[in-house]
Amino acid sequence: MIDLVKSTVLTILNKENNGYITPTEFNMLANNVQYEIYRDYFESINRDTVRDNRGFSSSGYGNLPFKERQRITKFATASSITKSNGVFSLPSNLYFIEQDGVTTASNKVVEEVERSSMAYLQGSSAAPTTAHPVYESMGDSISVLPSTVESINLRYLRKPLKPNWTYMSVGGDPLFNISDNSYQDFELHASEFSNIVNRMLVYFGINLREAQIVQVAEGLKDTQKLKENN
Amino acid sequence: MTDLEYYGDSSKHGEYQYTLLTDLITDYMMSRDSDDYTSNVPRHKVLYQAKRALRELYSDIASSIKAIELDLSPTLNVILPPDFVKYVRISWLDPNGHLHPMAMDNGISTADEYLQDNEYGILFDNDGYVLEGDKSKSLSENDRSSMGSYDILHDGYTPNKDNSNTYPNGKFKVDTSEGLIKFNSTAEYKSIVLEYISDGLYERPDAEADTTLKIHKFAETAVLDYIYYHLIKNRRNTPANEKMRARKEYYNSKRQAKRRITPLTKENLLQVFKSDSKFIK
Repeated sequence: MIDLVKSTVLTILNKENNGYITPTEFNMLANNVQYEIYRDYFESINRDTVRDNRGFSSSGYGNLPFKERQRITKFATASSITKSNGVFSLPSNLYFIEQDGVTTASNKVVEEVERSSMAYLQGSSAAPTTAHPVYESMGDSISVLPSTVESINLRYLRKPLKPNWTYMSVGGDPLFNISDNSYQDFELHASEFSNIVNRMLVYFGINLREAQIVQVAEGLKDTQKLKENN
Repeated sequence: MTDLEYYGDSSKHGEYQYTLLTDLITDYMMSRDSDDYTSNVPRHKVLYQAKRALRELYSDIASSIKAIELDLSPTLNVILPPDFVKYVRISWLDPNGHLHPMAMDNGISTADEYLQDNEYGILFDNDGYVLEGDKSKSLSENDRSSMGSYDILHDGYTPNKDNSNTYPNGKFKVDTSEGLIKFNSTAEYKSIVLEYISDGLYERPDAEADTTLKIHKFAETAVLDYIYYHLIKNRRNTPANEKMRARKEYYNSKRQAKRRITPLTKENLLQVFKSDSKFIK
């Protein structure tokens, strides 16, 4: 998808008249756009679920929360972690831990508890037990109670890999090279193609100081959002 | 579990009639919809309400009466069982295995005894706390004796006797502050059968916490309705009519559970009515 995105963007920009975009610039902005779209998924699924709950969503192809879940779960992954120095170190590619995504080896859900509630919880009749363990986050690790829990299974959403449009120079011009080891396509769902293009156009418009491009691209983005919200 | 495994493991006998608390919590968490009023309530709050539900419903509808048999020591005291909440009946056991229910005597004092000097001044220890006497002596010798018991065959007919103060099978007093049941000497050297109810939340220290708590399957809906009602009742954003509906639903499921667990059947009634034709001499 990444080469098609680049070609489309360059076609719209009409690069001969509006300036030149280097592969490095493209890759940097592609990464930013990918993160932007990824982050918006969580607001989108919330909005779609609320609409669904109000009866404004249909089944089958019109099931919006189902579609949104498919976009998000492209980044879903799992990992097993063993306790080290009293805590469980989280994976470096972690984006978000899924709700109820931490389980013990015996498949008991380890519930996330707000740090401010932990002290009261430990002294209450609902105190953490092996049957009902809890965890609190601390930086890049989590601490699980009761302390007898030695290993956990983590279900989480990972960070997207950085898109990399790889090339080889042919006659001084960059030519797309999919065989390069560092090649990395966008990881977003295929349905995001036009969304990626529109967002990249906004950034390239700013980069090239072309108000007209920014205006058109923002207009396209707004139209898309309007469609989603209706 | 196969039938062979079931019959071979005594800890499994009769287990099917119960639902484990852990299963109830899992079911509740699983069954919530995304637009449920409790959709984002954390599990520990559900667990807390579930335990309250067990406590609330255990005595009301579960009717699970525990009974233990103990030989009464010469001190005429019995220590309350670890899961004791309220006694149902306390009896002594005769050699034929028949129970003789004893009566609670609220007239027995179990008050703390403050030590006083000759001038009636209260005595304090070096730390400034009141010195207390030996409470076990508070059951007076008269109370500890069989005085107060009454047997028409031995005592004869005494029309002016206040029978509310007679205890033919002996008497006792539950001293909740000391955790003891104190008996009079009627029960001396006898075996005592203590029937009592617990709150359903007691677990053996060697059991894995929360894993042995259970309630009758007929009370499952009542527990789930209790949890839901108590989770929403203090929420500002839940409409009042939903709170009222949840409250009614809980009370109704509690009533249904009680009726199912302790049904009033024709056979029960007939058994009771059999005494109707008994000739009283």
